[in-house]
Amino acid sequence: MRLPPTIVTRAWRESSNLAQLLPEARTIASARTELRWITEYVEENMTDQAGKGMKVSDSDFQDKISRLCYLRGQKGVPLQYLLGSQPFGDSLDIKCRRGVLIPRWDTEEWGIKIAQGIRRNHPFFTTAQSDVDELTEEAGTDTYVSETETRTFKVLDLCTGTGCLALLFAEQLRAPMAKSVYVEGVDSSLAAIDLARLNRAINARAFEKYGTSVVFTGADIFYFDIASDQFDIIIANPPYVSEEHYYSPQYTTRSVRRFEPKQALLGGIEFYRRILQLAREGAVPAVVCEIADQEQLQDIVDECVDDGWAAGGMSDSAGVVRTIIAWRKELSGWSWMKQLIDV
Amino acid sequence: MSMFRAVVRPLAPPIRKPCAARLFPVSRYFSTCLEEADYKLHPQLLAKAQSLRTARDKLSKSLTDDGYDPEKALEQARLDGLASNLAKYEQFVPTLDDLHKLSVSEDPEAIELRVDVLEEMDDIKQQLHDLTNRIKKALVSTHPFASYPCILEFRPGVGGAEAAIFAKDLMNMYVSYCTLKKWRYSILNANEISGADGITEGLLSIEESGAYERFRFEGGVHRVQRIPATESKGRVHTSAAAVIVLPQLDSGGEDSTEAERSFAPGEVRIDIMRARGAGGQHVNTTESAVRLTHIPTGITVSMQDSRSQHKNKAKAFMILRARLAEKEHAEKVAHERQSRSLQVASTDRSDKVRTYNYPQNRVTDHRCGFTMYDLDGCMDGTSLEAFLDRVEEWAQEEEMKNLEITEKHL
Repeated sequence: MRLPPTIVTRAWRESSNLAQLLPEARTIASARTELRWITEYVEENMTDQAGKGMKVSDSDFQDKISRLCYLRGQKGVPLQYLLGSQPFGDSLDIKCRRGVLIPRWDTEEWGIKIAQGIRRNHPFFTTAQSDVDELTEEAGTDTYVSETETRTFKVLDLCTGTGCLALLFAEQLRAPMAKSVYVEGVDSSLAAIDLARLNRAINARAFEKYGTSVVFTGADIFYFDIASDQFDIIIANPPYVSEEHYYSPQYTTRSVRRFEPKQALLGGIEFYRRILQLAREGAVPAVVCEIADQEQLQDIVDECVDDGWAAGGMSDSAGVVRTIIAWRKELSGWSWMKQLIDV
Repeated sequence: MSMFRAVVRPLAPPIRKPCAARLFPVSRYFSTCLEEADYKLHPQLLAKAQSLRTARDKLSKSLTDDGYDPEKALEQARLDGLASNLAKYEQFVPTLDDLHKLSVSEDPEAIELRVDVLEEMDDIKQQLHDLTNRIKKALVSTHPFASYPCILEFRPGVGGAEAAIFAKDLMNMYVSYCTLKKWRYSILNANEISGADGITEGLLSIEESGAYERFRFEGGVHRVQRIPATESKGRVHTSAAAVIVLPQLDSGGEDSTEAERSFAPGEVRIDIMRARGAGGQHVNTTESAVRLTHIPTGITVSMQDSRSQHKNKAKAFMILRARLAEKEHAEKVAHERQSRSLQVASTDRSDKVRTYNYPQNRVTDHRCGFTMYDLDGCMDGTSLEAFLDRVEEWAQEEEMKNLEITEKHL
């Protein structure tokens, strides 16, 4: 849609940088906020350079800002690629590079919801080890055996990309005493795995103190299997944009199509079929995946979720059905997920 | 302090009372009580202090019997000071009475010692004066948020762009004060206006425990008189900006969902800037603004400072909690005041608390009548301390008066 000329003139009157940003930002207010972030970033960068003894002049500073504004507004380069990072979760700083999908706020939102839900409701996090030991002694060996044996809660993150979801779960899930959390991220793109490992190194401080470990592996999800009883939950943000939606500007914005990897976007039901197959084969009790919309949820539920599983969708705060939540009915410890389902 | 001229303006012309004036030259300006009250506690206050001491003894007994409880221990530590001061007080009072008897007796030996006795009496009176002040201070109920960090909120009042500029100046003043004090602070949100160096809303979080107590009386309307940067004809304008002091109940750090959890589901409506169309992987929006509406009270908080929507939400919840707590407290205080039907000056946000007059290089606090001719020093935070001290002193006197009136009415 064309920008109203009044807005354009108003932006020009204020500053040329603001006007440059307008085509992508669409409103003066959001252009102003983006300009503030860009300025803050350049300022920080310049102080770093000055700290290293490099000479920084005021015109360099202005040039850098207007260059970034031009790239952002006129060329449509995503802000995260220009600034190099996106804050995520409570304290994570996720580096972003060309060729790897930028973390979205939708993903952050459901990730936090699910991780917090697990932390508050899953018996692994709610019962202290001593209680479990006591109970085991009382009840003999049968009932609590599985929980005493697995003192590690294992999360598998498929199509991890920047590693944002894996790191988010590592940050949010804090294991109680004498237990630990293990998160494995898998992606088929080498660039993504490199970036994810870099992100792990940068953000290690957020989860290391709780004894959590994160591992990133390069593998194509269609060409590997997982052993039985390995993981407690599979999370994934697989490519889910359909061909039709990808080429329609109504759905997918120009900037996303131009700058973000097609490989991380174009996909569909085959991914969900594979993820749920992996969950079945590996006897994983719960699966949470990001999805495109209500329609896709219906397709997945109809085709891939069989008896023995309960499934439902959860909306994001923009009101779009954003995740599918599925768990095995017969296993205890996951039925609380019912509260999260609203579709 | 000696670098500038400080003027203390008494509320009423001082009444010269020779004997009191010689002993306590400062208090004659402010104190309305009798001279004896300066070093002796009102019997009812004494009784109250003694009852608090017995409460402390019970508390320490329960601490040793029932095991450690941090809240109780804190309360005990608070009362410990009172108890030791009270013990000293009780020790000094009979000594003073004895000395007084000695000083008025006509015994030749006593007459010989009279000079020493009078000197010692002066000394003891001075000490008693300090002790009574300390005891009174402990009796004045401490503010429930006193030990919390705080959030200062700045809003321009009348005066357009100039008021927005002044709001920013005020925020900078507190920022420099915090830098001087080496306190940790962060600017949570600053909505800048276009075209001038001002703000339409500013939120400054000061992460120092006890900051709320320090800045408690900064809340109110701050008035500025100067030639604005936006003025072309060189006329002096008067504009104003409001400062609101809120207690910071959550750290907003480690576990950011803490504040959100304290609300019932459905109590707060969360609005986000909706992404166009499908959302998710289809779009990559940088729009991260969040608006919260607390439905029962209608309070709204919007936040768009950070690039992370999650962080904006966490911050917004923190501010919402702070606002609600402040509101609740203000209502409670108002209710108490009403029920006592006391006619005392209110110590909270009265109108116009301070004036910053640039042409005269003058800052005046309207509550304690303190004027300082060092505006630059005040604006860069170096002599703000003096104001904070003066206002606190004034507030304490008000509260003590309040306390005495209450006791008399009992």
